[in-house]
Amino acid sequence: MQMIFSGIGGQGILLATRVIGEYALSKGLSVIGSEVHGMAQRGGSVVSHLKIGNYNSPLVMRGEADLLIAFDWHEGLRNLPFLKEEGIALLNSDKHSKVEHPTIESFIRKKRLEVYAVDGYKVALDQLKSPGVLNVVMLGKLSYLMEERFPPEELKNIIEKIVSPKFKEINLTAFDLGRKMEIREVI
Amino acid sequence: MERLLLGNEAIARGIVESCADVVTSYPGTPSSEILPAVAKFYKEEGIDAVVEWCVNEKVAFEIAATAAFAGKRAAVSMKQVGLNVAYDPFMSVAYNDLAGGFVVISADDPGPHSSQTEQDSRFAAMMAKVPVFDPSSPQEAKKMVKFAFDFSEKYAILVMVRPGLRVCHARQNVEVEKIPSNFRSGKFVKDAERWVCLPAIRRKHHEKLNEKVKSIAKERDPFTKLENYRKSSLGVIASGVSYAIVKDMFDRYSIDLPLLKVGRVFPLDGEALSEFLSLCDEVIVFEETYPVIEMQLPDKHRVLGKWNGEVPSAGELTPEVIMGVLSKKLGLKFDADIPGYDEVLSSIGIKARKPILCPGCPHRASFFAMRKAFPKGVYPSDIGCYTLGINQKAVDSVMCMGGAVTMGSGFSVSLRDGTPIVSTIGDSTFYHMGVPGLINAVYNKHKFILFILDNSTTAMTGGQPTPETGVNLMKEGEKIDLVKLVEGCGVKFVKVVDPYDVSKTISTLKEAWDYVKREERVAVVIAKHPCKLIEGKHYDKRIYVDESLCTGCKYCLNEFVCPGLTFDEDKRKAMIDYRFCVDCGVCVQVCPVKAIKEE
Repeated sequence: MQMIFSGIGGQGILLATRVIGEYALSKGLSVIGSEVHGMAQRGGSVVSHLKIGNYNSPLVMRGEADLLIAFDWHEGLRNLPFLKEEGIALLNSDKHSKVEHPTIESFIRKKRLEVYAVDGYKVALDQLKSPGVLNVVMLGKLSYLMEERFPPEELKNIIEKIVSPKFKEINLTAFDLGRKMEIREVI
Repeated sequence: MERLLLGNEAIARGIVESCADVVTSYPGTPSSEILPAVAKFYKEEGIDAVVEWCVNEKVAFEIAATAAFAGKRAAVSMKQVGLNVAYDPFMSVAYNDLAGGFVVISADDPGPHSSQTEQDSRFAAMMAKVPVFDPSSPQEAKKMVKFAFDFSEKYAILVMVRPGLRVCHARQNVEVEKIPSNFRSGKFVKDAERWVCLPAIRRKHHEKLNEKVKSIAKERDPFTKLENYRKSSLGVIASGVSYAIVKDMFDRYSIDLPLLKVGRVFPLDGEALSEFLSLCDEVIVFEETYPVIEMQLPDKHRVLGKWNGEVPSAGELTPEVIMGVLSKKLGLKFDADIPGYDEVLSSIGIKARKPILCPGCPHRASFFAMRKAFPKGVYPSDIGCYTLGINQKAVDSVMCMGGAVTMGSGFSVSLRDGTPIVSTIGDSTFYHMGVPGLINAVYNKHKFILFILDNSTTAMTGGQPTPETGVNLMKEGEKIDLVKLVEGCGVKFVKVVDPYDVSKTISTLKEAWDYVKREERVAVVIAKHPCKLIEGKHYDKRIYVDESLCTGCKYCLNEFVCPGLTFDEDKRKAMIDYRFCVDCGVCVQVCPVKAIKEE
């Protein structure tokens, strides 16, 4: 399975990628992925790659990803071409978000992509007053969308292990609320 | 046991499992995570070791090299441009018959993603005539580092391991073994013929180095492997992450070509190379970033590579690029581009976001004050987060670490029209290589302001401590007083301000420039405020825009450029983006009509 996490530097993309990586490792699977550190992390576009299974290189090629998780609507649209046919995308959005061009729409249809939108900041910012937990909110929804692949209780165990004890509580709450938040298919 | 390790952590694991207990570094992407991981692994086992952040790569290199003079196993890690700083000792120590094992990790940044060049450290190793290994994954990086220590001791030679960014920042399941208790005790055997680099002795040392390289070239390299052994009109040679990508592409597209995976890039495994070349009429070479393997191949006319433009000579060799080259040669259908997609995105204003200073960053406040004080100034700057001041139009030139100080001098002797010159440099970069330039500026009476942006950390690379804090990885060190250091360089005008106080910062900068004009000497202003990522806290009062006062002039957006400020296109008013705002309150001082307020 090949995955892309995308968003803006500072949105906690590394942690989200690591949770999935650690979960796969706990199932005895081989994991390789590519992270972004340094200058590119300062508020710029960030793409993190994760490949589970028998792969050698850490990079996902465009057109090969099974799953795209985007913490930002525009970063999501920009990275849709990473998906293969019938790939799944989970994009963070807000009430203004729309598929802004017929070319993008026809791309989604032609490739038969399943593109879902959620408003993660409604939970992280409005409800929890902690924009920093958006990543875990999104993981919560992922565990709803692909429950068999990413069982919620197991992801939560990993989150408990790797976040600092100070933020354990709020992250677990964020996960549960994220799991329950509203989701819509974009097209 | 397997652990999910970052490539840099795997390298660190290789260092500790080799019992190298003198390990030094200066942070730099993509190498920064190596040293803290070494400290973490030793602490986990309660092992006492010397693991030190140093002020620069030259210093770090020399300390580790000397440990190898004294029989220890030592390692030094740095980024590729850090190796430039350490070049003097690097070239010199290459000639030494070392007593202990010494491994240099020089991490390259093809792309480049976080560097001023995408130079290839393997070339530097070749120039120094020392062996270099090029890992293709975190798993292999760990094995290579361990092998490199044995190799270094076997040939009494300095050895380089060169991971690329996609290995440093790859995360992979890596087998972790016990740390053996096989630490070397330090013992220095005096021998001037061996340890003093006198010209008369160096020729003999050079001849000996040549002999070592010759024997190494004849030794089979366990990391160089011939795969898909058969005769073919075309074969592929690859090293580093390019090898890993080629393997994935061979699997994905069922390509069956002979493949020579190169581990030891210099000197090449001569036997493996001859055998491979006898199988193939032509070979494609994939390596990052410079043609180091390619240059060593005997018959260029059989080589499809960088020299004849078959493989790009700049930028990363991504899967798309590698597959592009392979598909063209093999006549496969492949196109990673979606025709028109990117054009449509840019036509509706969706572009890749550029990096930007964090909300609440004290540098933003410093830059705003600097431009207010000297709207027509010239602003040399340096390497660090504050290079991003380019978004605030506060950075006119950047050369290399420490270059802001000396560019201040250079502009000072070149521009004689009274243009204010304000050089900005971070505290860590000042300690790294700014100090010699400042002594020189005092000595030669250069006329500029050195504006030290002191956030008490090495922020861009992840917040490593600086000498000012006294903090280090294994034990507490001594604190260095920045003001005293500047005074010790001979500077007579030194003032410290908090950049969050914008008007005070403006008046101090103006006062400094008056001093420069009057006394014809350099002045130093230190803007002292901790990095927002370290300070981390929200302030008590929320910031908001008073819509009845906001005129929608966008001054705050264009001049201050903060992720916490955005524009409501419907209302034509500035607004606070609470996803990012940290309530630092500096923009309250920026708004010309006082429409931004604290609750």
